Formats: sequence, structure tokens, C-alpha cells
Amino acid sequence: MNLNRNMQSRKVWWVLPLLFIASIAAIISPVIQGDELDNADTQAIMKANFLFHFAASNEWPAETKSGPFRIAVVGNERLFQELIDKYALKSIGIQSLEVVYFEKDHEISDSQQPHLIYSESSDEALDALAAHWKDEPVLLVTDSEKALERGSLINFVSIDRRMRYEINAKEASKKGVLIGNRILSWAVNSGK
Amino acid sequence: MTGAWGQAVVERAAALGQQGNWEDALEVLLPAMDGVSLQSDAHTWYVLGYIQKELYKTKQVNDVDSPRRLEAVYSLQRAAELGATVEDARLIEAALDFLARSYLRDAIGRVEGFTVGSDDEVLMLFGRYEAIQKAIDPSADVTVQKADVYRYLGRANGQLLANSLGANQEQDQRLFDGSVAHYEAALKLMPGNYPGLYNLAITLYNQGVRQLKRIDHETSMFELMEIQDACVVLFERSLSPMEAAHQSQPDRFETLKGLMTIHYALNQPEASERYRKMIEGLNGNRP
Repeated sequence: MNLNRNMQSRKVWWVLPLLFIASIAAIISPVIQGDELDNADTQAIMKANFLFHFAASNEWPAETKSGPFRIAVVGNERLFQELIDKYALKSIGIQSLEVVYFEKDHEISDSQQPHLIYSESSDEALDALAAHWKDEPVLLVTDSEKALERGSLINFVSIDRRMRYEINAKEASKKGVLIGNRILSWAVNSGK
Repeated sequence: MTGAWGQAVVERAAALGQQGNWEDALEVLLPAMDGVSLQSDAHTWYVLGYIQKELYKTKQVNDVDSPRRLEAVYSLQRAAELGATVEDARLIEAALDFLARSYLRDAIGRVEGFTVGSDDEVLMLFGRYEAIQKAIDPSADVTVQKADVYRYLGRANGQLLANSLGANQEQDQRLFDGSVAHYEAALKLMPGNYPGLYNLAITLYNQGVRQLKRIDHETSMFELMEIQDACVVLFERSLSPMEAAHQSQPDRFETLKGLMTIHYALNQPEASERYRKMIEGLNGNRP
């Protein structure tokens, strides 16, 4: 008695494992490379929420409380898009939130004065921007070195790999913008 | 060793099997296995195992829990233990090898149609593959396949997580933990393996981004800071495997992009810029 004949050709046992391993490799290999980095702009997500809090938790003078609450974003399209996607339909107090985008600082319209400007300008460009809005109740928010010294009121800084912000609360109050306690309490330097 | 009656039964079962009547063959042989003489006969166990294997192939090949397959493995291993002839030993090994591979194939199939929580089933199926291979050859090394299965599981969990709408946070956390644990298990088996390192880094980074995406107008400053802390931990954890992947293959675009992105998320613009320039250099060198 012999089951040999049922085994067919022995050669099959040499070929099958090779085919099998090849097929497993074919299944697995494209998958290994399949995971993709999430391309979301992590900094834009954080900044957008900070800007929303800056808008909602500070106090602007009474004469600015009619019409929409306007945030102008200069030079950071992904931040603008994030604000539009998540916050554009919200309101700040009784004012509807309006987010507008500009390529350059000088494009911001005087006739449609924003309540808050976010700009990534630095050095002389920042000097010019701050000077332009010096006497207006406009909260200038930036993300550059020594920006508070150049007229910014809130500046994003990196502390221990985290995004935080510093504030020049005194200058803000001179312009009629009162920085809220909640915003002050999380600042790394409130300029008090 | 085997009595004449016993031999006749085994031969009859084998003949039925050769005609393709595997169920009849089993019906003839199984009751006779109670006899002491057949119980200790290696060839009888081989014939029984072979019949059970064929029944698995013809009737239960789509059943991952197939009892016939388990019985076949047991019978064939018993035959090997009892000291089969050289010819039978070779055939036993081939039959066991077939069954072992069927377990591996099922494990891979389960990962392809992966559902939440089926990790253990996949690992159990792979465990059977491994056990049989080691029974055939104690020096058999299945490390590469095992690492592949772990990586494949890491990816399967990650895929479900990526497609999650976030309604079940507990389940999402389980999927994330599972994905990381599988990638780490794969790396333990094959340290320095590029796909394992890269995929682990991506899984950790994407989980951080997933947390950030929860932020909206209802997020308080306190919550924002908490979320940021949790994200930084995940981004920092992702940095180490991404750097290791980069060291193993310095000219890979995706790792350079990964390092650029992770440093950006960690508010390290200089480091991010360094990797951006390396990507530019890489693109410049492309024909």
C-alpha cells in the first residue's frame, strides 16, 4: 500500500513554496509602504484656535462692536483656510466672524479695518505694519523674533517644542484692546 | 507490528483514498484506530493524517477553524513521533508543510479582510504555522514572516483608524495601541527594519495630528494646551523611529519629508528647514 501516487509529481513541492512565498511577498510589500503622512498643517490648526480665542476672550472698544468681527490673515493661506473651515460661521459676541486673506500687509483695506491682524512679517516690514495701525484698536498678532519690540501685541513663540505666545498687554490697552485674563494667564510673558 | 486485519483495513482505506473517496476512507480507518496495534503504527497514522488532510482540502479549505486540518496535523505529527520509514517521513513532512502553509495563507487572508479585534485570530493562525514548521525542522527560522505578519497587522489597525469617523474614541485608541504594539513587535524581531520604523513613526505622528484635528471653536484654552501636550508627546515619539529609518536609508524622500514635517510640528523651524533643503537636494539630483 502506498499513497505515493496520490502525491503527483514531487517537483510540485519544490515549486509551490517558492510561488507561495512570492505571492505572500507580493501581498505584503506594497502595503508596507502604504502608510502616509497626514499632510495637515499642525501649526495652522493651533494658530487658528489661538486666534479664535484672542478674538473671543479680549475686549475691543464699543465703537468697533458693530458689523462683522474681522480677522485679517496675511501671507499664510493654510491658516486662513483653517479659520474658514472651522470658525468662519461662528460669532464673536454679537458680531459674526469674517476672515479675510491678503498676500501682503499693505493690501489690508483701511476702509474695512480688521479687529485682528495676523502677519508673519518681521524686521522693517513689521515696523511698517505696526506703524500703520498704531493708533487703531487693532490687535496685531505675529510669529517672528523680537516682534513685541517692533509693535506686535501678541507674538507666537516656541517653548519646549510647544506653541505659546507672549503679549504686550500695556500697548494693547493703550489702543483700547483689553487683554482678557484667560489669555493673559496662558501667556509666557504678558509684559505686565 | 500491525496485525493482518489491521493491515487490511489500512490498505482498504488507502485504496479508497486513491479513488478520491476520502470520507469512505476515513470511515473505514477511524474505528480501527482504537486497536492497540494500529495506535502504535506510524504508517497507519500517516495514512489517517493524509486522509484528513485531503478532507480538509476538499471540504473545509475555507474554514479557518477546520477540525479536519487540526486532526491531520495531529495524526501526521503522531506518525513522525512513532518513527516512520524514510519514505513515509518525507511524505509526512511534505503534508505537514502543506498544512503549515495553509495556516499562513489563512493568517494573511484574515489580515486582508481585517476587522476590529481579529488580531488574536491572525496571530493564532500564524502561531500554528510556526509550530508546525518548527515541528518539521526545529531549526526553522520564521522570523521574517513573523515580522511581516506583525507589520501587516500594524497596518491593518492603522487603516481602520484612518477610516474612523472618530465616533468611538475607545475603539480608536485600541486600534492605535494595537497598531503601535504590532509595529514594535515587528521591530523587536527585525530591529532596524526600514518599513517597520517608517510605519511606526507615521502611525505615531498621524495620531498626534488626529488629536489636533479635534480642536474647534468649543475647545477651551486649557483643553488646547492639554491637546498640544499630548500631541508633542506623540510627535516626539515619532521622531526616533523616523530618524532611525532615515539613518538606514538616508536618500529616501518619504523619511526626509517625515522628518521635515515632524520638526515643523514640534515648532523646530531650523531643523525642519534643514530637511526641506535635503529634499530639494534630492530632487536636484534626480535625472
